[in-house]
Amino acid sequence: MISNLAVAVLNGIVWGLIMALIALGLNMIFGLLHIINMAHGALFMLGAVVAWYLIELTGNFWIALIIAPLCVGIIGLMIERGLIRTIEDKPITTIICTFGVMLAIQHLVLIIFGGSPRRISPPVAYRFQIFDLQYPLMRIMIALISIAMMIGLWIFLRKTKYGLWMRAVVQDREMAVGLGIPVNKVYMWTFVLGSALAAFSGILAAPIISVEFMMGREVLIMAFIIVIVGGMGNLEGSVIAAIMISLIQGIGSLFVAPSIATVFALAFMILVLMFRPQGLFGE
Amino acid sequence: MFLQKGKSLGFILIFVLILLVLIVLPFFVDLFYQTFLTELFVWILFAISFDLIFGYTGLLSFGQALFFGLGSYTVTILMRQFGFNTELSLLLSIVIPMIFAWFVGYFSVKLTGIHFVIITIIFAIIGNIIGDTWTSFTGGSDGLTFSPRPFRLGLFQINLMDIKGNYYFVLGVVAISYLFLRRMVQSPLGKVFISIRENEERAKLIGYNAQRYKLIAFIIAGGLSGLAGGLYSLTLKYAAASYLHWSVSGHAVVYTVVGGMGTLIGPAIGAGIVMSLEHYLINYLQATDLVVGIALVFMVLVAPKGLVGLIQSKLKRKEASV
Amino acid sequence: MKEKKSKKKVEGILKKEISRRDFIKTTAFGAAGLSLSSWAPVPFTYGAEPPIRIGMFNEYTVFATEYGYWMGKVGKAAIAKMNAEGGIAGRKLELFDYDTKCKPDWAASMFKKMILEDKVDFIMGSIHSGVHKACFPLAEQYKTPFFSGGAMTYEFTGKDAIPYYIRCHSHAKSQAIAGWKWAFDNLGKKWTFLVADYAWGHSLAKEFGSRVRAAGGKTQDIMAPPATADFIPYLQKVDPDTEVLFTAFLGTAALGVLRQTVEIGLHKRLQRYTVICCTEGIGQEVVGKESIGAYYIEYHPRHLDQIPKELHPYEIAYRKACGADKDGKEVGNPKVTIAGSHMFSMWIYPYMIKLGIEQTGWKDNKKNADLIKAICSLKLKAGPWCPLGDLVMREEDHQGFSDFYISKVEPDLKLKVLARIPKEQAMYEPEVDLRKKL
Repeated sequence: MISNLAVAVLNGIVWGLIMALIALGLNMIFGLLHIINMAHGALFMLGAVVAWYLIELTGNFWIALIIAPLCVGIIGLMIERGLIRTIEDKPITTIICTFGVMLAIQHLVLIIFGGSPRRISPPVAYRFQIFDLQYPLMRIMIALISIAMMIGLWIFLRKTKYGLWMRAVVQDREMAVGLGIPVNKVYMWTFVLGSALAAFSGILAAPIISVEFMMGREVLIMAFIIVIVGGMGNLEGSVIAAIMISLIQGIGSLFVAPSIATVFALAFMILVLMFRPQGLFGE
Repeated sequence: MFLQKGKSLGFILIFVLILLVLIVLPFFVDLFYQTFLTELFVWILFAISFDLIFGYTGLLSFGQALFFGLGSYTVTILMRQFGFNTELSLLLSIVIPMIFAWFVGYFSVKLTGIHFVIITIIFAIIGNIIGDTWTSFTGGSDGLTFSPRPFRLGLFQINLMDIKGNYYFVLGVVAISYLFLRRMVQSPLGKVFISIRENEERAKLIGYNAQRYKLIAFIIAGGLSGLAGGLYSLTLKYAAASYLHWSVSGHAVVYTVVGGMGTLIGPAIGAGIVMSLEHYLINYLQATDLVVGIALVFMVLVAPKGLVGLIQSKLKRKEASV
Repeated sequence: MKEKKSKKKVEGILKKEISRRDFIKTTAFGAAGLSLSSWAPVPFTYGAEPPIRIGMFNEYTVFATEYGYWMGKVGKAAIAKMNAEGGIAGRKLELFDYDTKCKPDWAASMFKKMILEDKVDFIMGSIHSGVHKACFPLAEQYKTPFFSGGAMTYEFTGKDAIPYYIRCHSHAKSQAIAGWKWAFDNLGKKWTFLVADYAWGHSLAKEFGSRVRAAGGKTQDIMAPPATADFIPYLQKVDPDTEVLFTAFLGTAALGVLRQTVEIGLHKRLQRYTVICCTEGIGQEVVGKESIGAYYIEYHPRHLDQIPKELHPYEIAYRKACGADKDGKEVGNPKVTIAGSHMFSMWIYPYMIKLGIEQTGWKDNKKNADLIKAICSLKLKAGPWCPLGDLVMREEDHQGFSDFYISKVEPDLKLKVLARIPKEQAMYEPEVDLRKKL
């Protein structure tokens, strides 16, 4: 029992960190800019798909990990420039518009890449022994990358000029314009960064969940929930929220049926929203 | 004064005209179009119930599928398992979702904006999970089939196994619901909803308990979504957990946005156009979702207030230039 | 702009116009499609009799698309071949093909469209149980024979059976009856079922499990959500003394569970067993090297050299017609793997329909009941139209039976057949008698 619990806790934390990484890109676009990007899951998937093609070409996971997010970042740029900019910030129109973009991207991938799942081999296959189970190093690696990303982003937002601009734009857009901050450029680059992050997390998740044109669908809702419950734009908050959901599901599954554990995790989310609508760490 | 009377007279004329056309239609179009239109009516009901809370009250809920699914399961399980008659089952397909809407709404209306959206989605996800796993009761994703008995009202009886009968029944129920909603949005209650949508703070300052009114709107919309679900099951003779998925709510959102929110007629038109487009395209290509996706993006760029909004602004411009 | 305004006019009139145009266009498209897909020259000239219309729908988008792709391909190839051989009773076959989108309501709409607009005589296809269930009321209402492409819910030919549903392929129960004993004798007596938490997963766990227990074995059930990405919380619940881990998931979850079982080292102390449905249409190289040593129950071997010798000539011709090669890959496209254990249903049904029509002299739907009775009494022999080997249909429940195969994943990722389970071993008492209902 103890060993089960230990593995459940470890996995809950690790998986939570992986989910937080997936939510990170959304946290940038939605959490900071308040743009509801339904296409986030599709960009996540696109990262994995582009990486798959790059790996077929070069045979190297790490090259794909660097280049594919850049490609998807460019697509994010096109979406922001071409569509989001024109819509301005009406939430319902952004939802519908990005929903349409999601449908279109998913379908294009279906036509070009095909419907059946493909594989990206994990770059590291080492497993280490925990009690009577083995635990894949790949997962721990992704969790560590997630932490590194989070720290990097935190530094970026707090310590660089660009990060300062971004936070200013979120706080008071008009004032930011008045101060001479190139608001349009900030929006654009944030969207690009968010898209690239979505793709980045897609590539890292691919060895675990396989590359498939619908792989973004389940991920999308969970990412939104994590961002909101954690506090919009709050990076630490989304990590805690992701880990909490993951732990409740994981430990709960030891005692009750997993669907019930998931329902508990979701009910917990509702309670958080009720008592702290700004999220666990939001302002 | 005269403009008001003129507007309502105009509405009555157009409504009666459309109704007459729809009544006479089955004698001119083939059976498939009758079934297509029957389904369209159901989705129109779902869309206009969504318009009540979204277009008129400003609450964006992606969780309406929960009530739609509940309504559809209520009718199916009551008739299949417990032998209830059609009239009572249909009535309960309004009442039971309303009770759930009261519960969900009680929590949800305390939140605003995106938080409201997410919490309604979470409730819908929970409903979907329960529907999928409690297979002994719900049939899970395979679903449940049943044969509806004829609908009886006094001496009047409609056979729901017959396509025409089904068509008229659904048309009747949806037409009545439409009139009911229209009456409501034009009444003082409706004006309160609109004032909450426009500026909730101000509505509160005037003395309205915004949360109470939001909850009322939510409950009514839940009941009508349930009715749509019940009608859907009566038509298809089937219910499944997949109707509880939050993406079903997406239908209502799309139809409302395409047609024009806050107009009641907008969602109806939106449903007609999008559904017709999908059914028309499927003859030529498989990738209808791709086309619908592109069409949505296009619509939103060109006519963010929906088609009705577009026409209204064109008319206003004409008026202004006169 | 004008188009938008005219669209806003009374819906009904516009739809009436579409309906006529649609009909003409669809028939033209259907005919064009058929003539493009039939390779062989047509030796006969067809009489003045109207064509026999066959409706087909499959999952081409959304989910399970690897099934839909092959079902559609084989269906079209079968119709083309049959037309090349003279059609049925001198009548040409016309195929109408639609997407179910994995949605029961959309599929039901397509079902109605095929019957009411395209005026099809028969409908075949789809592997989605929800789609089938939603179409049951329609098949009954319009008395249109509905031939199951590959739905696995056994109640469809059991307690939920309807007279207008015909199924030539296996389902969860027949798979369990055929496949439990070999695994029990050769792999182990203590089983854990890690299955998707919905009807299909539940029924596999129930059917295999009840038989294992009845024979003195021990079972444990672990349910996981169908779209689970992280299996570690479930895998760690597996009993330490379990000998056989039976999994049942679809899509990426299937790949996940097979891989993660190995990632946490479970494969070292137990055997892995699953139904081919889980990774059908997915190349073993995609499932991964982790699947080496796992056991599958197949309904028709993927690799040509694993198929019984006597069936080779039929299988070779069948694969050629469908564009599949001897390794179970698409000809010219080795990244695409066949859905070999499922797609054969689309090949066999047109043949069964042909035999039925020839036997009963069927001309139109007035004789549908007799036709179904005839089809469900067929005892097919191995042949060009039945590369599976012998296939028997049962009148009582409209269920078909053919041989099963237990395979193991070899180090070269090939599925090697270890045992052939004859169809008689998969049979069970019919749970319903549909003869009275026709």
